Amino acid sequence: MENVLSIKNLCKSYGKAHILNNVSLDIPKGSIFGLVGRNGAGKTTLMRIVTGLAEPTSGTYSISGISSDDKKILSARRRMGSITDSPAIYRNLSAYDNIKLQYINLGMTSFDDIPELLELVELHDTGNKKAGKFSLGMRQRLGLAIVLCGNPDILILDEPINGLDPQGIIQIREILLKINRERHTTILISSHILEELSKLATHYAFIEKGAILQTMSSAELMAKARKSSRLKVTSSDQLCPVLDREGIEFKIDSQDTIDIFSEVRIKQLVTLADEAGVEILSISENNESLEGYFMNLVAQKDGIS
Amino acid sequence: MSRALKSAFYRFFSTGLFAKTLIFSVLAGFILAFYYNSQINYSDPFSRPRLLDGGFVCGSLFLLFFVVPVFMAVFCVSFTGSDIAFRAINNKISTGISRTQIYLSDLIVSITASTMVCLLSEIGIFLWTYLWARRVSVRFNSTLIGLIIAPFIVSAAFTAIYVCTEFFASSKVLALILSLLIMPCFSIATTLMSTDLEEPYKFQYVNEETNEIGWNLNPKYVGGTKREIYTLVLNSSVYSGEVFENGEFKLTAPAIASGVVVVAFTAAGVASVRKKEFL
Repeated sequence: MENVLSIKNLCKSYGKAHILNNVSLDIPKGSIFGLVGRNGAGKTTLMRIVTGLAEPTSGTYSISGISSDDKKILSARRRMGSITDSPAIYRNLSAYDNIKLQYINLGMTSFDDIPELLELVELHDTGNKKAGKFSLGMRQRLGLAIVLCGNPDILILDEPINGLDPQGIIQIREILLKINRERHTTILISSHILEELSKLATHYAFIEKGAILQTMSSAELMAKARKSSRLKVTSSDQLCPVLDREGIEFKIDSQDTIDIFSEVRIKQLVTLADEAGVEILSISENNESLEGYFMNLVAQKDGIS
Repeated sequence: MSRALKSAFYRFFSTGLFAKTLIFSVLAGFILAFYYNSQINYSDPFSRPRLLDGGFVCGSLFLLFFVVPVFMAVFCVSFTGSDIAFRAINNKISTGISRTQIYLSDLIVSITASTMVCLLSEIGIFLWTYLWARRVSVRFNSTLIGLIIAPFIVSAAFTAIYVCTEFFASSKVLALILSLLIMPCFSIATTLMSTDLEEPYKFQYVNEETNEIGWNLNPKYVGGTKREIYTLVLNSSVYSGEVFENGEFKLTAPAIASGVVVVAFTAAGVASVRKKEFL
């Protein structure tokens, strides 16, 4: 598969602090690539280097086959749109003017597409209202419209749904899915809200302490994620000793919820619950989430190191 | 370069900064002429018919050295500062515009604004003076011509310093404070230097026992290289009396100094912006 962005052995240090250690990644064309990691893992630094806001200490990257060492990288960046941390917009300009300015930055002379772009991010009715008076969600959508100027091949989005309300999150998700589907735009995205990321991403890279732990497609994640039975009970604490005695693998999720990973028949569970004096309220099938997978991965790494 | 420059000029016109600069320029010309007119009328009402003959216009033009740098400090914070504070500079960098181009385009627009302020203010000063003074004739001597040209050059130098400050400073407020302090500090420094240079080399004293006159060396006397530096600065500064020789304004030294400042600060700014990691 063709890669829009390839990163090779990228390192970044600030003094003695090593932020990125030999990061290598390939972002396939047309994918939505989720970058998953804790705060300070190096996600933002990686994105800032790729977008030209920071220089790597060593290593290279290439955008559409053009290496970062090549002077043509500046023109290659015209095919890229990015939001790092929060959208970069002039608050004393209207949505239209902000987008027009980005068209000028890109060297475009026709501004006919601007109304369409405003429509896409649902800001077509803002008129001359200055961006400084926009809500956070509107600013995020305007930021998205700006990075979509010139129909880029790849979008780099660092925490694009940070601080948004549920409706705002859904709006951004819908827009991203739409542009990926209709324009075949590749998206490299990071987010703390892993559940939301799992609704978008086709590929994942897990990053921890500046190193890539693992990369995989969402299909591979689904296959690797462990299945469990989720039990709602009157008291988790009372049931645990009985499950321990029987050697059943489980995890307490809350005071009334237990995830059981071993294969156990419902009849046996009911018997054990009776024995513990606990009532089973419901049983459901539960797939391990992206968050759970990531936490296990990090825990494994911590255990090894 | 053209993309960066078009973008910078578009922002200059669309953010209202152009309109604000225009209004300020017209008002500055009027207010400076009015202020100086009232001062002259107060001190010497009989000089009124000959106001345009030199003194009045020269006085008003001289005030531009104080007014334009203050306006440009605010302008640069609003213009270049917004690029950095709103992080909109990231959009330019990520579209492949080089950092040098971004810096230079911001500088060009800012110097255009300072030129516009000087030009319109000067037209205003001449216009209002003519309307007030009426029966006068303008005599364009070297001092008047020098004072017409000098505000353009000096303002460009301050603008170069302010743009550089914007890229170095960590916040808009800090940049504004630093920028607003530069001109008064420089003006005060030249005044203090001038006072220091006037210190006599020796003090005369009278020996009370012998009643003879003697000489003591002045410990405050500024000599050697320091004196040469002070002299160079004072000859180059429009805020010192040294630029007026026998009542005539000497343009050459301030013009050369301003050119050196523009080149030095632009070089420093470009060098820093190429290495800077924007948030």
